[in-house]
Amino acid sequence: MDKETLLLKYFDGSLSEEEKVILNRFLEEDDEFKSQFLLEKDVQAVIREENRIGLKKRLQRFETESETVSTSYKRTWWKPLSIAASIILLLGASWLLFNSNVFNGQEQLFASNYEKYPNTVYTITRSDVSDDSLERMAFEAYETNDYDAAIEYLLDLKEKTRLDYVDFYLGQSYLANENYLKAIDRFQEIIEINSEFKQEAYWYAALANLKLDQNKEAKQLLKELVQNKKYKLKEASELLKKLD
Amino acid sequence: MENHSDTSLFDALKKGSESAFKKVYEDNRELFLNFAKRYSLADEEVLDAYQDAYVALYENIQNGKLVTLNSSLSTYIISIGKYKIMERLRKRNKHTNNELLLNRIEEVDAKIEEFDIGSEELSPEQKLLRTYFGKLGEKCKKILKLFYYQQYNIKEIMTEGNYNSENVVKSQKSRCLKTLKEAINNAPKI
Repeated sequence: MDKETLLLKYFDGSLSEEEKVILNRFLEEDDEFKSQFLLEKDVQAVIREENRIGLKKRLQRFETESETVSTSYKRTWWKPLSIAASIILLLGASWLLFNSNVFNGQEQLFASNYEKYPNTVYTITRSDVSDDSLERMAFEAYETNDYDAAIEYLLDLKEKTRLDYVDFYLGQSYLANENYLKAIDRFQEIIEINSEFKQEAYWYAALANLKLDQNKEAKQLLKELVQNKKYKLKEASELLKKLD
Repeated sequence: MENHSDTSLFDALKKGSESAFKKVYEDNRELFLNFAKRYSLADEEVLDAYQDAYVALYENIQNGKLVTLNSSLSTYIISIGKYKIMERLRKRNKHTNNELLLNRIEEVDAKIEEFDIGSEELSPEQKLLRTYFGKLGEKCKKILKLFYYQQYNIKEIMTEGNYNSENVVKSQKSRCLKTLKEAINNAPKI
């Protein structure tokens, strides 16, 4: 294979293992080849950088766009109208809230606040097709909402490792499976050991308590969140108000 | 394992859809900012890290390193985001001993190691090259972008750019590279 083809294949990612060895040998032995290779690598780095800058500018534009949208809202002439509209909305909302509270307050509060915590610890990539580690199976089950399986794998994982997120996701799985007592147990553990999921654990433990009509406990946990101001501050204070 | 809308968003991102690019960015913004609160970074730094993470994810989708979605898009963004946060903490804590914290972030996951997520700054030579690249004609820019960034092979570039043969593509590409090389060689030494 000639050197040009070798470079072409390197950059379109189609080199075989054997060809990689040949390429490496050329890089060591042939200075001209090496400088051509480095030039092309530099071109690649430059294009990548150009592209990154362009993409990032687009994102920054999204940010400024949403800022101007919210400020122009404030300046519009129909402000009185919008106030009137929000009052009507507010009346409507509180009527709904009042009614639902009469029948099924806790249930409603839980439903409007609960959202499963996403898997943020274990990324399943295509390179791991052969990876059948417990972790992979546990999080695969978790992501597909197969909580029974997830619980089984996580319990196994808990015995074999000391990773503290295992308890957190166990709690999540119990909660999703409506096993509130066990969920609270796991979240309490997270809070006690000061895991990096501590703030999140307060929130989910509060929701689980809510579901069990244990308002006093729920309020205690929400107060922690409000005090710490690190996670779900707004949601926690709103929820507290509703529980009072 | 990812939900339906995630898959269709992923496909749209692959095709370069502008609206998907915006939607995924906005959908994951709050989640990321909340997640990052556990690290002591200023709000602007966190937003910056989020944008870098998002750009990196998008890049890896575009250059074909991420072919099929094996986790939710949110999970990918958070995993890459951790590296971006770590880079920032590292920069700031250069002189203090904060190894423990950094180790903890690192151990959490390393399953995206196939991705390009580095954000090394360009070397002086590369910066120079960038200036000359900017001066190339559109045709050259396009062919080089397709080849070095989107990793199209010669045949695909031929179809994409309506070239008559693979050889035409190859010689066009060499000419563009040669222009750059000459510009660099004739540049005043840095």
